[in-house]
Amino acid sequence: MDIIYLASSGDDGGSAGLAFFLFAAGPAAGIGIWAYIYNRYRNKSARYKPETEVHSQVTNLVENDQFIKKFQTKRSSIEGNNVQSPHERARISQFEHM
Amino acid sequence: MSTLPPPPPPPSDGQGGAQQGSVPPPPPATASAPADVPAPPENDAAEPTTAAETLEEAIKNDGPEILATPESTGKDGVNRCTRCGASEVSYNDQTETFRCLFCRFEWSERSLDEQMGLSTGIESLSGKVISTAAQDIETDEALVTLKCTGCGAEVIVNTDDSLHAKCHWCKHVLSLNNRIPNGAVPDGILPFTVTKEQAMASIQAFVDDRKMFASPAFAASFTAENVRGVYLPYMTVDGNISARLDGQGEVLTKKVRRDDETIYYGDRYAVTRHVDVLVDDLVVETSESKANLNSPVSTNNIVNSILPFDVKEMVRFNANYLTGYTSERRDMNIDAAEKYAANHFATISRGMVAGSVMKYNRGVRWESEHVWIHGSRWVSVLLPVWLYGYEEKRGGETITHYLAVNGRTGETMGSVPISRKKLFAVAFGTAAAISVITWPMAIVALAFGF
Repeated sequence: MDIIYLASSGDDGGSAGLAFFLFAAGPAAGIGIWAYIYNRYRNKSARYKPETEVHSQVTNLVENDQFIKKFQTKRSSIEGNNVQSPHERARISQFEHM
Repeated sequence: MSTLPPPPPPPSDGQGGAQQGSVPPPPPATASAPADVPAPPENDAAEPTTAAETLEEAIKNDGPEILATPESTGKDGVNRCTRCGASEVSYNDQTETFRCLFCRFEWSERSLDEQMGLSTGIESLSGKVISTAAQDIETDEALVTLKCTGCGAEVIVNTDDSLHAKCHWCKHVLSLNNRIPNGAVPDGILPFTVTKEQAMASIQAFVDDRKMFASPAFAASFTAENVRGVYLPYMTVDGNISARLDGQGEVLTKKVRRDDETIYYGDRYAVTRHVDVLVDDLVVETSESKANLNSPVSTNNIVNSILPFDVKEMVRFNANYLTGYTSERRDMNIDAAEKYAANHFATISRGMVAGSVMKYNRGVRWESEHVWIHGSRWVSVLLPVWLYGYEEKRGGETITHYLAVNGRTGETMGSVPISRKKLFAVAFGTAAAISVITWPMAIVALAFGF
């Protein structure tokens, strides 16, 4: 994977971006501290983690990956990334008792 | 100033390359799946349904197979010494043994897992297999009448408070050890091994670490000595399941950085996984008041988070284990608990395939998950929890905060009420202090174009 750095000419866009960052730094720090302390005290996201805490054995795994297309985007990760949150149900979630 | 390199050729589907904010098409799993990946259900292509709706629809009564739980040693309502037959028996949770108060003989119970073969045969589970005491609750009646086998007197036990009673005529200790129809007696129990002193120390340390922003009312009233040992009702569930997951994954191929933005280039894939999984000893709440993790009046997720327990060590239920502790009666049947188990099965399936999608370094969006539960095995059990509850009243609402310690592993978690005034003061103060420095710099940057 290539990472390419492009130099900037120091235009108005850069100044505006820097100014926005500096204006936002204080409020963002306040919100961050609020969220950190609230989570540390209330632990609302604490939960049983059966995906790692229950003994489970995979007896068969079939993989199928099909290339769709190349893309470019400003997003740093795929939209709707849920690979790290297995406890949150997908958009379509179905269960069948055999 | 340098310019951005030309974008990669447009995709063959005619859509633009940049996909920010767009909703991707559903994965072409049906058309592209190899023959050995089971086809998705027909209604995958139909209107999306919510998990809750499909869970409710999926739950049906297929006439479960009953797995006989071994008879308790106190099957006639009296716990007897296995050597001399005396009914004066006590349980010592330090040595995890029973002791006859008459002949001093000590003995321990065999693991229920071993007796019932609960760790074997998961791969051949088909349909529902339900242990004797996991069957449906038939009555909410808490009062149960026992006939004393010593003198024939009738003794009433209030199962909400106790599963013991002493015959007031002959002083036999009568216990409810085998299944009764109100859900009070489970198949198994996991005795406490964490002592009250250890639980108090854990809770005290947990609260001490969070004193600064704790609400003054909580800080003033908190006393670790008030922690109480409670046996809470659960089911252990084994599952023979399969799952099919469909979604999209992205691989980053190039990143172009300028000082004010980054453009990411990558390859997008339709990702399908089919996995067969054997699940051993999933634990599911069977107390209505504790099962709802999003309860607005109770921090149930705290109690949920101290799972799991070493349920392989559970023993056949005996009311003597409850001495000195309180217990809660099961009030949920398997039909109600099943949706929680099914959700956990889906979570486990997702976790099991995570390693196979590591190459998608921009992540994966799972859009569809379908879980087939080929077979499941249910056993009811009481599990030991040290619990401290605190009711916080805010406005017209009351919320119960729990501090909980796993009675076997000592794992501790809690919800400590916060003083919002203090929290606001610190958050606002931090924001103001940083802004005092950064805002003049921002104004200078705008004015002079740095």
